Amino acid sequence: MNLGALSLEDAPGFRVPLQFFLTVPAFGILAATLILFDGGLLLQSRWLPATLAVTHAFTLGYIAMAMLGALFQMLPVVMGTSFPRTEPAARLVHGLLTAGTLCLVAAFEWRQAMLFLIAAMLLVPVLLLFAAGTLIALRQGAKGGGPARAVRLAVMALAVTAGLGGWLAAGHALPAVPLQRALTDYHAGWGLAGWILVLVVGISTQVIPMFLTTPPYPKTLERWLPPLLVVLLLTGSVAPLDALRQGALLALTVLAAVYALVSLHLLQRRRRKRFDVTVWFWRLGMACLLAAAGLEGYAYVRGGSAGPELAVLAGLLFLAGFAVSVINGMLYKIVPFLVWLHLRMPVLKGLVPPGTRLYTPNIHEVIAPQRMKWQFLLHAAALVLLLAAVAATNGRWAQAGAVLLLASNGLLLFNLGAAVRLYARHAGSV
Amino acid sequence: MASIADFFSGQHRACDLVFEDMEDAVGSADWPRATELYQQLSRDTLQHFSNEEEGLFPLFEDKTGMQAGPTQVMRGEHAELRELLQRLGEAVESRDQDAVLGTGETFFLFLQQHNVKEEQVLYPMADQVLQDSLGELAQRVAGFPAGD
Ligand SMILES: [Fe+2]
Ligand SMILES: [Fe+2]
Repeated sequence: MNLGALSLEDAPGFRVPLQFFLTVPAFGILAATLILFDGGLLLQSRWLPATLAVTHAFTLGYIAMAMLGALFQMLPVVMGTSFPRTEPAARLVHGLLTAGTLCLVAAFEWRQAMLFLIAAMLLVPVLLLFAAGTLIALRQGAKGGGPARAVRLAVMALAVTAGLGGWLAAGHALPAVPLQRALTDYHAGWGLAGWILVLVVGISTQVIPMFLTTPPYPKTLERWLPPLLVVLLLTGSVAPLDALRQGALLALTVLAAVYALVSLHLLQRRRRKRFDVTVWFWRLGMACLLAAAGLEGYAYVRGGSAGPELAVLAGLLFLAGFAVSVINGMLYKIVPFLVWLHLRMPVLKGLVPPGTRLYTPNIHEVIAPQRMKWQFLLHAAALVLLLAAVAATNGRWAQAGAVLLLASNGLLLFNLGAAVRLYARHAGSV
Repeated sequence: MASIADFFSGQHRACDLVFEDMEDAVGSADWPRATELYQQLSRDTLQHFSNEEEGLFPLFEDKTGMQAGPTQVMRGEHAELRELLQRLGEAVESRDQDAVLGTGETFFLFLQQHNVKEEQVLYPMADQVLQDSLGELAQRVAGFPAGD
């Protein structure tokens, strides 16, 4: 057991997670711009290329970008292990993920066969490489506890998603490869439920009670929900009977709703009463997950008669409502803490004489709570308008929502950028 | 059988509750109560640290032979936490609400990540290796159940 790795001094360099985190709002801005220019049209069907461009700006550019950055940070500190050759690996993963996502968005936007191929050649290897590196790191890790197990399952689902995505990209690019729509459902299912949901469950059951001072999650949920989600997803993908597959996917939807309800209940019983913007981001995110699961369940009951906008609505709720909200909230906990931690590093590493009082800004001085609150309100308002736009197929509302989304991500970029600039200013003076 | 994890984790929770009450008092600008709660927080936290540094850690180090291992890391973090606690006290004394809440948040986050490492790794290990030394621990740590 490698207990030395518990040390915060072994945290990867400041740059490792921050390069990912600063790229996150840039892709949020890109997604908002695409919605603004393509108008309400793209919110009406999940199959339109323009819709898929926005979807992948969110899933890869925003969500995966944040989660990969967070995992590079968490492996050493929380799980007592580290990604092989962390610093160069993180630079490579960040560079390829950014370039590959831009290519893919452009490929959907302009329907360019060559761009689909380039995107697949950039994204598939880098995501498989990341999954493999994480699995290797976890094999060497100190603990096989709850979060480690969920991370292992989630990155395996990421690999499945990336593989299917590569095949779909080839279908867009090469006439010889038939474009199989059925594969899209597997690709989306493994990406949303296997990668995003399992990872959020695994991490939230640890961090919500700890940092947001709620009672702990029930032990059975903490332990069994991630593997159960994956088993149901697997059953829903490959079971021989149609009814079995449908039943598994419905059960998965119900479990997602249960997790959202338990989370909302715990957040309600939070002990600290001070306003904390992260709590509101998590509440909004869990409410959206609950709504997305409700819509999925409804569509299941209605069978083929449910309209196409229902799928778009559920997707918007899950991605922009659930995943983006909880990530945004986590960034506001992690980034100020990392700025503070890395400014304290000379003291923690014993590089200054004991007893020296080194001034360090407190966490509220890194990002002012008031500015985080404004960004939360912009994000929530953007979400409400976009949801209303889809429900009412109203292009004007979609564009208004896009403007707010743009403003929200602009402010997020400004807030994170201010934190990094503060770090750079003080780090230079030590 | 007395459990090290239960006893020491219980002290963490107790300190958390005092911190949360203090934060509420500061939020409603009840400075006399905030000062009182800060003093209790400071006393309990420092007592807990010395329970670890003079009670639990030396026994753990003797038993495992790990002098430069996890206990060393934890001692380093205690030093940082003591300084944060002192800054928090200065902010309470000057009745500066923003400084108390900002320094308090910093203290609390750093404390939580410290506690989780102890609760998930160090205490369970200590429970395993110190089964025969619980009596000795009870002599060094006030309130630790002396056992059967
Ligand atoms: Fe400690
Ligand atoms: Fe402790």
